[in-house]
Amino acid sequence: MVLVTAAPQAVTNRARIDEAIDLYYGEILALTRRTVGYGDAEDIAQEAFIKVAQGMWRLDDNANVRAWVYKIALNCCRDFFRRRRQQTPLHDGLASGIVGPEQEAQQQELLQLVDGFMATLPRKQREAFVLRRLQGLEYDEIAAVMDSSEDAARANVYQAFKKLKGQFAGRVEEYV
Amino acid sequence: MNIDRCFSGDELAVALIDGSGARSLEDLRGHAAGCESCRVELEAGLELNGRLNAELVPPRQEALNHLRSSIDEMVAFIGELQAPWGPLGVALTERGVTRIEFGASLDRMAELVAGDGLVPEAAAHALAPLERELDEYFAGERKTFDIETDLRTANSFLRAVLGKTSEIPAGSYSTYAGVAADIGHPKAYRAVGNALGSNPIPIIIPCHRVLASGGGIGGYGGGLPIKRYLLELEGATLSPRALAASQ
Repeated sequence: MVLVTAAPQAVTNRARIDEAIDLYYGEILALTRRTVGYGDAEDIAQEAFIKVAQGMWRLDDNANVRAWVYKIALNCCRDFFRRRRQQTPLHDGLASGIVGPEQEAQQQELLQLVDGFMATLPRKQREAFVLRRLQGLEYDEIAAVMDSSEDAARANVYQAFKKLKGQFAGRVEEYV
Repeated sequence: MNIDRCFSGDELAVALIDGSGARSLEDLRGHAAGCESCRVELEAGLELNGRLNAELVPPRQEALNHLRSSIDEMVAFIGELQAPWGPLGVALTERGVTRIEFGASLDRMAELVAGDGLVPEAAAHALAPLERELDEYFAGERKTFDIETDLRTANSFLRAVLGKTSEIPAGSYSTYAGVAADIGHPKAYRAVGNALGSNPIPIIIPCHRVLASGGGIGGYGGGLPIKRYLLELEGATLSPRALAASQ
């Protein structure tokens, strides 16, 4: 006689994956749009969530799922640039990726000025700033995503803001 | 708070990004009203902050549907069945059986299918068709399996070897050299042996029906006593040498 001994689970792995998609796909897509640009954002977000699906079974029930998903997504963005061998991602990504409806283009235009400046920031400052200011992560989450301390995360965010503001103050009149 | 003191770049960043810190945004505004250089700084900060608030478009429904159906295709239901000699880890996707592992626990099966790039899901009910066929096979009531196999992660050589191996009928057997000849690579009998050693779906893909040339029983991932058990269950007649080797 063959007996199935698989233990029934209260919450299935698939249910946890679906919940992560419901909760975080939108903001991860925002992250990939801000990081790799509109043209490739959807592909990278999908790639990230496939990895989320593949790895979810290993994740403890009490783990910070959001920070874990961000970490995977950020790694996918970094892999994308490694594949592309690009050093200044945001300029090129946005310039090549602007497509779609008018309102989308308008929103992109608003962001493009800032994104162009952001491309000049060192990677850690740029990532920390995007995670904090654009994605709204708390500093402990940024520290978890970037494998750094909270103090380092804060320092990177403030450094990025100061640099951006400096660039912005110098050039804003050309655009306004 | 002394609003006469000029604020630093960090103080402005903390107030605008975190909305916290020793000096509030109102505090900074109060100072900037009477300080030209700080007013310029504050305005640049506010302008930058405003630009960052542009709304982003939501994800497309088709993209979400595509993601969910891609994941559906990757789900592998895993379970632990009981064979006559002990536990048998199994994994089944919507395409068919993708893994059978001797003695494997649920955790081990999850690791294996994740290593195949699939998404493990413990769900006993999904395994019922496989369970029924294995049950009938071990009871001697079934000679061939109807359930499909999913070999998406196998390379073309392994597929060729497993395909030929699947053609060997129950009750008979072939040799590593025989399978090598059947796939058109007669000298590759060692590679065939290695490939069969990595058969992801033993029992259903009957690598136990491939023996050494010259009457030896060859090898088996589950151990030689299980190879002999399966061959005898299927009614094969083994050479004395094979019988002696599989004691």
